[in-house]
Amino acid sequence: MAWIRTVPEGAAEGELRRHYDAAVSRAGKVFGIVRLMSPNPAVLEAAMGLYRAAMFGPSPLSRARREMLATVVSRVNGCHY
Amino acid sequence: MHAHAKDFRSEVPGPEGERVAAALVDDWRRAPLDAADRALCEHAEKLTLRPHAMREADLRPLHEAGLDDRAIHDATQVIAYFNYIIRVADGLGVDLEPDMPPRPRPHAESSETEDAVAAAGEAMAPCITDTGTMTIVWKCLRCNHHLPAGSDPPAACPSCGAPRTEFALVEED
Repeated sequence: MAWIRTVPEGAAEGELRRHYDAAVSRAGKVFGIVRLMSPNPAVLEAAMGLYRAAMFGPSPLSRARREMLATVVSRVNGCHY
Repeated sequence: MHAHAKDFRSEVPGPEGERVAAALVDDWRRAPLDAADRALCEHAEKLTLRPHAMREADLRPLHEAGLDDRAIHDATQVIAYFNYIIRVADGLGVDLEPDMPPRPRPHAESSETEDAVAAAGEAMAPCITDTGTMTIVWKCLRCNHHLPAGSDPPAACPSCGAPRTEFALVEED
């Protein structure tokens, strides 16, 4: 249970409904981090867009290198997720 | 962190990926990395911990390892993005995914700490907020089973059998 009120999957409408549906078709479920941003679908959209471009878009850095950086940043921050 | 170690494993399958992923979660300095990876990890660590101390000279090891400006730019965007999203996750209490190990609970073995946590739960449950009535419950971090707060958590989760240390106090509305 996050510390703020988020929108449950069954209650999402409009833009948020599209995000949740896309998450389910992409990952099989709505990840906690996506649900956490549900109070502001426009920010959710922008954050996901940056994530897709930075992590999956064309780059001289291989996918493995980018995931390595994500792991190191999470570790250094002491982030469990 | 567990989400990305998992993604790393899927990008570098097999025992080698497993070995590197485990080492990265533990300590990247002991991971079997090439010079460019090592320079990137160094960059990620310094930019994350000491952004105010970054100097132009910090990019030299990246150039020397053969990374061009586009690669350095892209790496810095990845590092910055994760610093951002981690603050959203940690600042708002992201729900862990069911396949992630539970959050470590410092001093969870100490009965003093557990008593203090239980007392805090009693004091707070239920608390009235401007969004309505919120109730504090014990939540099993393994299976999300909820139990009423106000007393000690059970010795074992009635749903999945996880030990008492796997229970955390959470708000439920």
